[in-house]
Amino acid sequence: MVTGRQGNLIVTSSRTTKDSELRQKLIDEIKKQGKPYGLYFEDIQGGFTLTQRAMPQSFQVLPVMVWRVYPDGRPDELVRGVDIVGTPLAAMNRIVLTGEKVEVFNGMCGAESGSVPVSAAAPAMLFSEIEVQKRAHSLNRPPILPPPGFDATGTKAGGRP
Amino acid sequence: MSTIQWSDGRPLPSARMQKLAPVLALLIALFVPSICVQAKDTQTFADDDPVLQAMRAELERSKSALKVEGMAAPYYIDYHVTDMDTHSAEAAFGALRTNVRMRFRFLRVVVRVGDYKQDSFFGQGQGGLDFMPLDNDIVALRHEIWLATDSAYKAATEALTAKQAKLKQFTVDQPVDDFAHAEPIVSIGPVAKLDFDSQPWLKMLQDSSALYKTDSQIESFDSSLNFAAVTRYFVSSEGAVVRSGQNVYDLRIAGTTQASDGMRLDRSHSYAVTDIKELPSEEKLLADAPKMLATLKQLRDAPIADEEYRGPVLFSADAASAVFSDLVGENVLGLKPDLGQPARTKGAFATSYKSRVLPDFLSVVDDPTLASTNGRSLMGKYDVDDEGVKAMSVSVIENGKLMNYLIGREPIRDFPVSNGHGRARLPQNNPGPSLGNMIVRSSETSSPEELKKKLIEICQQRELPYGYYVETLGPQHVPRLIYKVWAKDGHEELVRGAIFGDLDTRTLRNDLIAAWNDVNVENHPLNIPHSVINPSILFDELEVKRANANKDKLPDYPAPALGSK
Repeated sequence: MVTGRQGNLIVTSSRTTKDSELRQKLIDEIKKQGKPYGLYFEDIQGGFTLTQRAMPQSFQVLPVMVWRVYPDGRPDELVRGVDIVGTPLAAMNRIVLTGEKVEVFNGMCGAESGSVPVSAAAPAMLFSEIEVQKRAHSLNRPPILPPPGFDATGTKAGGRP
Repeated sequence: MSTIQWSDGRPLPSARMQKLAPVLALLIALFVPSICVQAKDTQTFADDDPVLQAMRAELERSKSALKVEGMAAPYYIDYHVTDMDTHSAEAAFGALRTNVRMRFRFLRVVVRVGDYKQDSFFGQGQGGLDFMPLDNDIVALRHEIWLATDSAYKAATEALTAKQAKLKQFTVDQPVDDFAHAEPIVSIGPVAKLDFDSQPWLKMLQDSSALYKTDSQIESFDSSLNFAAVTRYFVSSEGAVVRSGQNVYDLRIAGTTQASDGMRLDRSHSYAVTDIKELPSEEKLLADAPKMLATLKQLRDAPIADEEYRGPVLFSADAASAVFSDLVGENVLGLKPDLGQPARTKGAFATSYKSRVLPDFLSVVDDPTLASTNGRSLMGKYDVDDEGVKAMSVSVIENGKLMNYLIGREPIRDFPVSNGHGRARLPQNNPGPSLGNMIVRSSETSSPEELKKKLIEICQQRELPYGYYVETLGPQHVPRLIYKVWAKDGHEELVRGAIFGDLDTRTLRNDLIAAWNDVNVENHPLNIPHSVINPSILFDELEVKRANANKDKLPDYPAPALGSK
């Protein structure tokens, strides 16, 4: 079955700032809102959105590299287990400004007509607000034995007690 | 669900497996000569093989240290690696449709917790399947084994508890051990290689499939090949070290047509061998294919079988092969019943131990040690089974009586040890009882002429105008070539649209009256390679009915004219 699908989705912005100034803009926003920290999403692995009429029209994005950015000059702190959730209209309306440099995401997109190659090109974006939630994860115990080659020497590298 | 999903991640192993499944289903072969010794100086044999080295190194580490505090340590661990190099190709209408060369390496790890009497081999505790690196980097190979062993052990500890909880629901009168002891074998055979020039074979496929042009009513005519080299590696914590190489070469032709009333008719032929030299030459294939095409034309023109017939039926050895394979071969496997069930085995012969299951003139042996018979290589030949047990010949049915089941290392009532028939489907299912070379022999033999004469005599005695002679069967025992043999003059008349009404283990036991010891060898390359060797057989009475099959409309307009563009 053939359905209408994304091809090359290109986002352009009329309210841009130099990419080098984006970080300061984020810190300004954190201070303005009186928050202890903001989040910088450096990389994502994918995401999905529900499009059926009977379902909530929400999306979820699965970031892999997320940093806490503190307004007081402390170094950024890498965190894990964060998912972005929301509804498209509410989320998109909170874009304050964007950077100038456009980056391209090439990926496979799955929908009613199957998996097709698509691209999205967009600049970095500063959101005044975005909803995140803790990601479900297993509590499986790590491997019992250390990896091959790491046990005989007693080195800590890869060894798991 | 209507979702849009982005992903740049690699697919999960299970998804990858599903993609490969159709290809994997085609792979098989035969063992090449190997060295068999007792398990002592295994180091000597394994040293030059990186796969065996990696397997042995991780096995030693797991044996000595794998344990979670508060849980039992494994009492048994085994690693199987299957390395497959395959080439499959198919041609239709004179042109190639697929032409794929693939190489895989799979790992299966089984960790057993508990003891031989009751262990964790249940549910998730039956081991898992993973891909292995194809190159021979020992650290990379070990890394994969390390993680698989860890998962298998954790799953085993959980499975043992689940199994014990489930067993509490049943009363077990005659407990049978979960796992049989076996003498560890060291047997290092050569690595299998798939080394052939594909071009002549691809040309052969195209040339033979082009023969569809000789008959405008042929709807499909395909030629295909599936060649594979499979090397299996096995090590166990008991000390077994096995490497065996197998090759299989399967060349097939298949055609379909429709009779004027719409009945679909098909024919196929497979040349399945273990030595590429045994495959037909292009000349031979181009001579055989038209004969098969001719039978499709004959079938189109043949009358439909009568609505019902009950009388003698003669099966050629070729047709009888599928009957023995399905009705005897499937039922002599000593498959342990599900947890809590008191039966000896699964299958139609579950209660037939030491009872008559065939007429007393028939005996059945399964002999995986036999490499060939009457000049034909046998696909069910192996030296050591997939559980590290030496292959052995088993007398299964003696003068009609079921005396043994074929079993692996999962014992069943009265059969506490393996008889070397534990084999795994490719790529790497759990090993279970399987056929090797099943040989059906008759102590009373008649010549084919005598069998036909007998068929006619029975018809005459019962005032039947004709009997049936079945030359070949298709899937589900549906006759592809079946002839009326007229009692008045013995002439044969091809019919179509016939099926059997009651071809089952009961008729095989009670209504089989004669056999001729011609030797038909049927090599089965799929799933678990095995061979069936059997005679022609005569049933005193069998029901042959008209098939209740849809008669699809013929194509609205004829095939494209040859030479048209």
